[in-house]
Amino acid sequence: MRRATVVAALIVPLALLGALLAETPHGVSAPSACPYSGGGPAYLFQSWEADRDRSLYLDAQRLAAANLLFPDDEEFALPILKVGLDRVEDPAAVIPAPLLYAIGWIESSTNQTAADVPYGEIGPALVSFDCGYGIMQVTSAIVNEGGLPTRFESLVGTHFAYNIAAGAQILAEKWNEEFFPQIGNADPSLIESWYYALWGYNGWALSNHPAGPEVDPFRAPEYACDGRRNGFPYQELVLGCAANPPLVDDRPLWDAVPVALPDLAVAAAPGGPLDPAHFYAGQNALRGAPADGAQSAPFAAMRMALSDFAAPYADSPLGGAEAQQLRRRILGEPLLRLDAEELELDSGAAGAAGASLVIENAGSGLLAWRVARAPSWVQLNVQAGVAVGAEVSGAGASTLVVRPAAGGVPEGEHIGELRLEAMLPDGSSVSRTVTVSLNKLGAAFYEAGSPQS
Amino acid sequence: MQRPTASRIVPAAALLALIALALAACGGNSAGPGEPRLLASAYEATRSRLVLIDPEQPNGPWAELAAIEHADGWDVEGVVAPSGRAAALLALPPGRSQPRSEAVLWLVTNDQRRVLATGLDLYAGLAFSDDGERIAVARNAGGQIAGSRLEVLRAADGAPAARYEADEATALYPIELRGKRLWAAALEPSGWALWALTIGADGGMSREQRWPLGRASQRRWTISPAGDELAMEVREGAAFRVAVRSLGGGDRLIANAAAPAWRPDGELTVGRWGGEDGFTLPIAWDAGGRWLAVTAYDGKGPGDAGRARLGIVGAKRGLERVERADLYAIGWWTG
Repeated sequence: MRRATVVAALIVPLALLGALLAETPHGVSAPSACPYSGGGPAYLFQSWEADRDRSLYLDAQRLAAANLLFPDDEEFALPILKVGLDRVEDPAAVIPAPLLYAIGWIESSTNQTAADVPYGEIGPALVSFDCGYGIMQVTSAIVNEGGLPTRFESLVGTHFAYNIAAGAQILAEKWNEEFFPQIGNADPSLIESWYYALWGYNGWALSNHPAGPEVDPFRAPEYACDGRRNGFPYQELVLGCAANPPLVDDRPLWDAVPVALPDLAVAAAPGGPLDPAHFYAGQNALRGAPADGAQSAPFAAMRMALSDFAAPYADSPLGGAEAQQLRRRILGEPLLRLDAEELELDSGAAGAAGASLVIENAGSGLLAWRVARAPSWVQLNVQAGVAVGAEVSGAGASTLVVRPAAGGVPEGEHIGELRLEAMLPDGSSVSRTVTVSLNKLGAAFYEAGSPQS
Repeated sequence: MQRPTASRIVPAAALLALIALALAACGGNSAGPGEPRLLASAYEATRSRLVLIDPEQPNGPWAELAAIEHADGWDVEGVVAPSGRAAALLALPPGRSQPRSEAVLWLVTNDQRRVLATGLDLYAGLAFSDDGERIAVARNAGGQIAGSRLEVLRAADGAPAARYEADEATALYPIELRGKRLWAAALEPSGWALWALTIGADGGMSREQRWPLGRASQRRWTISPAGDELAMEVREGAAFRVAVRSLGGGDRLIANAAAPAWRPDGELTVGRWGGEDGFTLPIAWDAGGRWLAVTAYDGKGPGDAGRARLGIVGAKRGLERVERADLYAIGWWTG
C-alpha cells in the first residue's frame, strides 16, 4: 500500500547514488518540533524494515502480548494484568495478540520505518509529524528535549520488537487503570473486554464515544482494516480490524478473530452504559463540576455487561521452547563492531563532510545502538540506530557521520569522546568509546552559518 | 427576535417527485461553467483526492480539484464556501482524540491550495462565513477534559479574526457564521446547548443567547436559511429523530428520521427508512435547490444500514449512486 516496488532496473543506479552520497541510503527526516512531548525536535533514529509479510512483527506482537518478549527487562516487560472485578494481579493473564496486530495496523500499517525505506533495508524510523514513533506510534515516556535519547527512547525508535513491547505496555496500563469502567468480569482473555482500554489507548475523549457526535450512527457494523476510518471510534477500528485483517499479497495478515461489539440500540439507550450522558457526567466530575462523590470512578455508570457472543480468545499456546526459539529469531545475538577507534575532524571547508564511523553487527538479529555521549562541538546524522546481522535479509551496517559544529569553541585542537552503547536483548549493554579530535581553524575557515567564537 | 416560520418537512423519499416538478418548470441542464458540481474527497491511505462530480454524470469522468496529503489512515472533512469557489478542509487522524495529533486546516480554490492553520487541538467542525471571507473553527482537543475555544480565521491568510474561550463547555462545534453572529453547539455540564455568539469589533466574542438542547446524543446541527430554526439529529439508543427548534420558541420532532438538510427555499429535508429498497440520508442541497447530495444505503435502517454509497438526487435521473466507495461529500462547487 505504501511502499513502491523497487524495479530491478532501478536498483543499480540507486545503489550508485547511495554510494555517491556516502552516507545512509535515505535522508533522516523527522519533525522539527514536538511541542507536546518535550518541545525539542524529534530524535534522529534509524531503524530496519522487515519483510512485506510482516511475519517477524506479528511474531513479536504475539510474544509481547504474553510478556514473552522482554519479561526480565524493567523498561519493556508487560505490566501484570489485573483480572476480575476485584482487580487481582494475575501473572498468567495476557493480551489477546490480535489486538496488538490490529493496533499496529491502524497506527502505522505495521511499519517501523519511514515510507520510502524498502523492505529489508535500514533507513529513517517512522516518526509521524506529531512525534509518534514506529509501528505502535509510541509517544509515552519519550521526551524530545533536544538532547541524546535514553535507552528506552532509543530502543522504541529503532528496534521493532521494543517498539511493539512499548505499545503493549501502554495498552496493558490502560487495562489496569482503575479510572476506566470495567466490562463483564474484567476477563482479559475476552477480546470484547478490552473495549474501554482500547478507547483509552487512543484518548478517553468524546470523539471516541460510539454514540457521540463525531461517530457515524450509520457506519458499517464492523470496520475492515483497509477501509476509510472516518465515522468510527478508535476502539471499533481496532476491534473491526482484528476481525477483518488486511490483505497483503491477497492473504490476510492474521487469522480473523470474531468480535462482538456492544449493541448500541440497547447500550446507548437512555440509562444504558453507553448513553453519552454518562460520559458527559464523568467528564464533568473530572472537571470539578457538580461533585457527586464519584471522583475515583467517575465513569462507573459506563460499566458494561459482556455480549453473550463473547468467547475467550484462544491462541495456540506458546510452549516455553517455542517461545524461546521465536524470541531468538526475533532478537538474535547481536555483537557490536566498530571500524574505527578515532575520528579526526577539522572545521575547514575540506572537513565539512565530517568523518564516518561504521557500526556493524558481527552477530545476528538487530544490534540496537545509541550515542550515549558526544562532544558538544559535533553534529550527528543519527542519534540511535540498528545494524543488521549477516543472516538477516538486506543485511547492513549503520553509518554514523560526525561533523564539526564548532562555532562556539576556540581555535586549536580539541579532544573529546563519543560513547556508543549497544543495547543487547538480555538487558545488558556494551559501551565503546571513540576518540574524536577537532582541529578548529581560524575565522576565515569557519563553517558557514555558525557563530564565531 | 424573529417570529418562527413554519417550514415543511420533506422526506428524502419524496424528493424525486418534488424535484421533478420543480425542474419541469425550469428545465435541467448538464454541469457547465458555474454549474454546481459535487465536491467530494476520494479516500486513499496517505492522501485524499478532491474530485468534482457532475450531477448529470455522477460516475464520471470526474475533474480533480486538488489532493491533500496526510498521514497514513487520516482523512479530510470540510465545507464549501457559500460562493461555491473555495473549500476549507481539515485533515484529521482517525479517532481524532490523540492530543499529539496535529490537524491541518487547508483552504482550496481552483488555483491554489494552502495551509491556513495547524494545531493539536484543531478539531472537527468548520463553518464558512456567509461572505466567504472567514472560517470558524473549533479547538477542542477531541472533547477531552480541556478548555474549548472557537476561533474565526481570515480565509485569505488564516490570521485570527475573533476568538472565544469557553471554560463552561467541554466541546464546541461551530454551526453557522453569518455576519457578526456565530452559532455553535456546546456540550455543557448540563447537556447540549445552542449558543449564539456575537463578534465584536475588537475580535472578542460574547455569548448573547443560549438554547438548551437536552442530554441526548445529537449531531448534524443546522440553521435554517432564514436563521430562525435549528434542526439536528438526535439519537437515543435505537431511536432516531430530527428535532427542529424554533429560536423564537417551540419544538417539532420528526420520529424515525435523521440527517436534516435545509433546501435554500427553507424546506427541510430529512432521511427516513423502512422501505425494502434501501434508504437515503440527505447531505447538502446545491445553492439552486436542484440537486441533493445523499448517502444511499442498501440496508434497512440504523443498525442494518448496509453498504453506503454517495448519491445524487435530481429530477431526470432520480437517485443515482456513485459506484466508487469511500467517497465523502464536502459540498457543492461552482468554481
